[in-house]
Amino acid sequence: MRIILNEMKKIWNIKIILLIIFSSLVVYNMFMSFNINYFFSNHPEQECYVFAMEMTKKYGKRIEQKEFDQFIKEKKLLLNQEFIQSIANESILTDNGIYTFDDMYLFFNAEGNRHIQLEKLNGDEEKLQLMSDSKCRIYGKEYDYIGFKFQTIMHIENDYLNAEKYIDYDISSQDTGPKSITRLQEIKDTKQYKNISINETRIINRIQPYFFFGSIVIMLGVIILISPLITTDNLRNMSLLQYTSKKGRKLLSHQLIACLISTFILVTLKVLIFGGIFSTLGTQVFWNNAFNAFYNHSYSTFDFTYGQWILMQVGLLYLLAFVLTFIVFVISKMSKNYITLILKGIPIFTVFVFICMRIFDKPFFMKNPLYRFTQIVGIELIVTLLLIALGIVGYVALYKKNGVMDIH
Amino acid sequence: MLTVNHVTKNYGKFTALEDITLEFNKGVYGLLAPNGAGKTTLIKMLTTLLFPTKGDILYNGDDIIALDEDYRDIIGYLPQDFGYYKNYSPKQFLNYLGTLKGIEKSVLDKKTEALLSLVSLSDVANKKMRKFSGGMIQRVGIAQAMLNDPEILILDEPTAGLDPKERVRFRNLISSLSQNRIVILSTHIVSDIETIANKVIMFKDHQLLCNDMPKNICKYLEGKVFETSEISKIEKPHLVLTQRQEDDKTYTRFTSEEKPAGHIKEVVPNLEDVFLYIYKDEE
Amino acid sequence: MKILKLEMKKIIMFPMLWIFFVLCLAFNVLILSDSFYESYGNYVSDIAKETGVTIDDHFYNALLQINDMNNPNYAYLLEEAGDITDVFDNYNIAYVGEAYIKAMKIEGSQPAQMLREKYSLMQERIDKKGDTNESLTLFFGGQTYNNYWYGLSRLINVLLLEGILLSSLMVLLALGYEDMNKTDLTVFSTKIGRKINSKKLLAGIIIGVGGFFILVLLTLIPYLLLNGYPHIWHSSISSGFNYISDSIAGARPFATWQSFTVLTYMLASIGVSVLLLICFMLMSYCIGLLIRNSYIGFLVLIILNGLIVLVQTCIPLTNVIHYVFYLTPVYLYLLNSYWFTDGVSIIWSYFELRGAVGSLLILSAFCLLAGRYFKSKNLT
Repeated sequence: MRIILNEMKKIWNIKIILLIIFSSLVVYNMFMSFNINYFFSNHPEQECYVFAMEMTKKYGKRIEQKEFDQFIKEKKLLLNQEFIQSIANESILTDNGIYTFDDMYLFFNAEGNRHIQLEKLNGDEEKLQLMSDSKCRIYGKEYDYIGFKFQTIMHIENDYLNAEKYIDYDISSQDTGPKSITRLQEIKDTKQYKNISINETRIINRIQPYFFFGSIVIMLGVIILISPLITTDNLRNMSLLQYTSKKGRKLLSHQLIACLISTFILVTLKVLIFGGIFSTLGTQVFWNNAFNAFYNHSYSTFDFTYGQWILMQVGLLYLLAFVLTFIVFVISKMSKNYITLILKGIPIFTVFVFICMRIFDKPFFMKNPLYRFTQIVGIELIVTLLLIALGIVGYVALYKKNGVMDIH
Repeated sequence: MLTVNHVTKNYGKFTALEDITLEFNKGVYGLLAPNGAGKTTLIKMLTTLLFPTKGDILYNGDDIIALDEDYRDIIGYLPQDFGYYKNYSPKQFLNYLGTLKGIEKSVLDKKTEALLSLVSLSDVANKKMRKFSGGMIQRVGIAQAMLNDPEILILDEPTAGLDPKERVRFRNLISSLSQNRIVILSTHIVSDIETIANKVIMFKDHQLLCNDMPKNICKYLEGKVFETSEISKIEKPHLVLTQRQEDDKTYTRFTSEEKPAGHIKEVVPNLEDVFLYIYKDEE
Repeated sequence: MKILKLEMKKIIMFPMLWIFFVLCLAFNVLILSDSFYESYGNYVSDIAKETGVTIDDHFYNALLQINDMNNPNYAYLLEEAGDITDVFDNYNIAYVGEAYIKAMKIEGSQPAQMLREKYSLMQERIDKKGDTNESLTLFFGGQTYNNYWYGLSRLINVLLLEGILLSSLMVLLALGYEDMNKTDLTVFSTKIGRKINSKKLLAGIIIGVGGFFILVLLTLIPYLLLNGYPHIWHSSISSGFNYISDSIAGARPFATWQSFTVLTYMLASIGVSVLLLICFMLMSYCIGLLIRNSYIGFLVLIILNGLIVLVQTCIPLTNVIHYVFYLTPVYLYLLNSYWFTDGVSIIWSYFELRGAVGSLLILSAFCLLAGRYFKSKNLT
C-alpha cells in the first residue's frame, strides 16, 4: 500500500494538477458552459420541457387519457387568456382577422404559401411583412413566448393522440431492424408512450453535448495525469534502482494500481463538480420517470428511468476512463521521452473522442449509432467492456515482457 | 556465497561476456577492466537486470532469478548512471526506495537518518536534490544502496565525478562496510581498489583473465618494470606505462622483458602497471 | 549551415514523428473516404472539359451541343445553368453587417462603426465582381456547397490542425533534444553555445513547413483528382453556386476581397497556413525556452491557446479588444473557413493576413525576449 501511495504522490504533482484544472476550465467554458447557461433558452424545446415538468409534478410518471385531456383543457384555457392579452397589443393582426392562436396558425402555417397569404391581403407585401414581424413578437420574449407555448401544446396533443400511429410508422420503416421492431411493439403493447419524461430535444441539444464534452474533459484529464508517470521514470533511469529493489519488476503492477486509483479519484472529482453544476438545472424532477414519452420519437432499447440513465452514463465514463488508463499506462512505459509520449497520446486521444462520440450519442436508445449498426441491446456497455479487456490484455502483455526483458 | 557459473551474455552476434565463472564470498572484489569490457554487463546480471544467455548465477546454491525478491532483498546496488527525482529531498528519496525495498516505516525513518549521517548529508536531509553537487548525489546513492543492510553490495563506477577528498572518504566507507558482506566494486580507476580490494577480477576479450589478490596479480610483471629519465635512449623493445615529473625531469615507467642498459632503475610493479600492460592492445 | 543541417537531421531522424505523420495520412484517408464524392459533381467537372467554366454564350452553346439527354445529371445541369444569375449584380452586402450588429447588440459602439466601414469597403469589391460577372462560373454547379464546405474546406481544416501539431512538436523536440540526451551542458558550452537555439528554431521551421507541404500534397492531390477539381480549377471561388450560410445573416454569396479562382484560393489558403504554422512554431519556441520540460511545455501551449479563446469571451462585444483576439493564431485557425472573405463579425478586412503577419511580428519579438532570458539563465 505504501508503494502505491508513493506512486500516487508522483502522479499528483502540483504542476500536473494545475494543468488539469486549467484545461478543464478551458474546455468547460468553451464547450460545456453554453449548455448550462442556455439550458432554458431553446424554443419550443423549453416549452415542452416546462409542460413535461408540470405534468410530472401533477400526475407523476404516467399520464392517462382522462388526465391528459384535463391537462390540455386547463392549459389551453390559460394560454388562450394569455394570448388574447398579448395579441391585443398587435393591432396589425387583429385588424386582419387574427384573434386566436388558431387563426394565426392557420394564416401563417397551415396555408404557409406566401402567394396565398398575399392574396388574402390583396398583394400588400408591406402589410404581410408587418404581420410577420408581429407574429415573431408573439413567439418572442416580449410576450413570454406565448406563440411557442401554444404551438407546443398543440404538438403535444397531437403526439398523444397519434402516439401509437407514430410507433407503427417506425415499426414499418425499412430502417428499423428486427430487434428494434420487437422493442417498439413492446413499448406499444405496454403503452409506455403514456410515460412522462424529459423531452428528447432537451437531451439532444443540451444534456447529451454536456455529457459528451464532460467525457472529453475527463479523458483529457486522465491522459495528462497518468501519462508522465512511467516516462519520467524512464527519463531518470529510475528502473535500475526500482527493479533491483525487493519489489523489483512487480512494481509495475503497483504503479498501474496507483494509476487506476488516481483515475478513479479524478473522475469522481470531475463527476461531482460537473454533475453538481448540472444538478442546479433541476432535471432531477424526472429522476424516477421512464423514457418513451408520447412527445419523444426515439425509444430506449430497454426500460430504465432518467436517473438510471444518468447513472449508467456516469458508469460508462468511469469504465472508459479505466480503459484509457490502461492504454496510457502501456504507452507511457513504451515512451522514452516526452515528445514520443505526446506523439502517441494525440492519436489515442483522437480515437477516444470518436469512441465517446459514438457511445455518448443517446446511449441505450435506438438512435445510438452503435445500436443502429449492431441491434445489440447494451452495445455501449459491451464495447466499453471489450475495450477494458483490450486494455487488460495490453497491460498483461507488457507485464510479462517487462518480467523477462533486459534493463539497460 | 554468490556463484557465477559459466555465464555467457550475447546480444545477437555480439558476445559481451563469455563463459565467466566466479565465486564471491565475504570481502571486497574489484572488477577492473577498461570501458566496454563487460563489467557493467556482469553487474547487471548480478542484479537481475540482465538475464544470462547461458549459465546461471546462484546464491547459496539457488538461482537468483528463481529466488526473485528473496535475492533482491539482500542486495544493494548503486548504478553507474544514477537516476533520481530532482524535486525530492534525500530523505524523501530514501523513503521512496526504502518502501520499494520492503522496509517497515518505523525502521525506515531511523535507517534514513542514520545513513544520511553516515554519508555526511544530515544537514541537507530535507533539501531538494536538484541543488546537490555530483558528490552529494553520489553519497545519496551509496546511502540508498545500504538501506536494506545488504549482504551483497554492488557498486558500479561509484567514484566517477568525485574529488580526491571524497574518493578517499568513499574508500574508507567501503572498507568499513565490507566487514561481513560481499562488496563488488566495478571501476577502471585502479587506485580505487588497489588498497581495499581483497581480490581483483579482470576481463580481457570478454573473458575472465584473472581473479586473484592484487599482490599476486602484480607478480605477473615482477622484474619487468623499470623507470628512467632517459626513455629516448632505450633501444630494447619496451612498453611505456606512465610518466611523472620530478626535479625538472620526466621519469618514465616502462616494461621490458630484460633490463635495458643505461640509467635504469627496477621498480616494484603495481596494479596500474599490470592494467596498462594487459590492456595495451585495446585502444 | 552545417549546424543547421545537423539540427534538421536530429528532427528527421526521430522515428515517432514519422509514425505520427503516417497516422495523420491514415486519418486523412479516412476523411477522404468519407468526403463528399458525388457523381453529379464529377459529371459537371467532365462537362467543364468541353464547355469551360465561365457561364456565357459559349458555355451554353457547348452544353447544348453535348445533348446528353438520357443522363438526368445533364438535364439538371441544363436547368441550373439556365437559372443562374449574377449574384453580385445590384447586391448590397451592408445588410450582413447590420444583421451582425443587431445579433451582437453592439449598435452605437465603435466595433459597429468599424463593421459598417468594412462592409462599405466590401461593397466596392462586390460592385466590381458584379461588373465582371465573376459569379457566373460553374464550379461544381449545384454540388458546389457540399463539395467545397464538406470536402475541400474540411480537409484544409484537418491538414492545418495536423500541421500545427506536428510543427509545434518539432520545435519542442528540437529544443528539448539536448535535455533528453543529457548533452545540454556539453552543447551549450561550445562555441555556438546558446545561440544554437535559433538554429533549432530554423530547423524546426524548415522541417515543419516541409512536412506540412508533403502532407498537403499526399492528401490533397488524391482528393482533388478523385473529385474532379482539375477541370474546374479556373472557376471563381465566388461562383454563384458557392455561398456562406449562418443563422444570423442567412445564405449569401462567397464574397472575397480579391478575385480568386478555386486554384488560387487554395494556394492562398496554403500560403496563410504556412504563416500560421510559423506562428505556432514561434509560440512553441518561446514556451520551450521558458519551460524545459517538453511535456509541460506542450500542455501549456494548448492551454494558452484555449485561454485566449476563453479570455475573449469575457470581453464585451462592444470593446474593440474583443475583436483583436480574432487576429491571434488560434482564432485564425478556428476561422480558416472564412479566410479572404468578408470575415463575418470581424471588424477588419483581410483579417487573416493582418492576423498572421501581426502575430508573426509580435511572436518574433517574444522569441527575442525569450532568447535573451535563456541567454542569461543558469543552466544546471
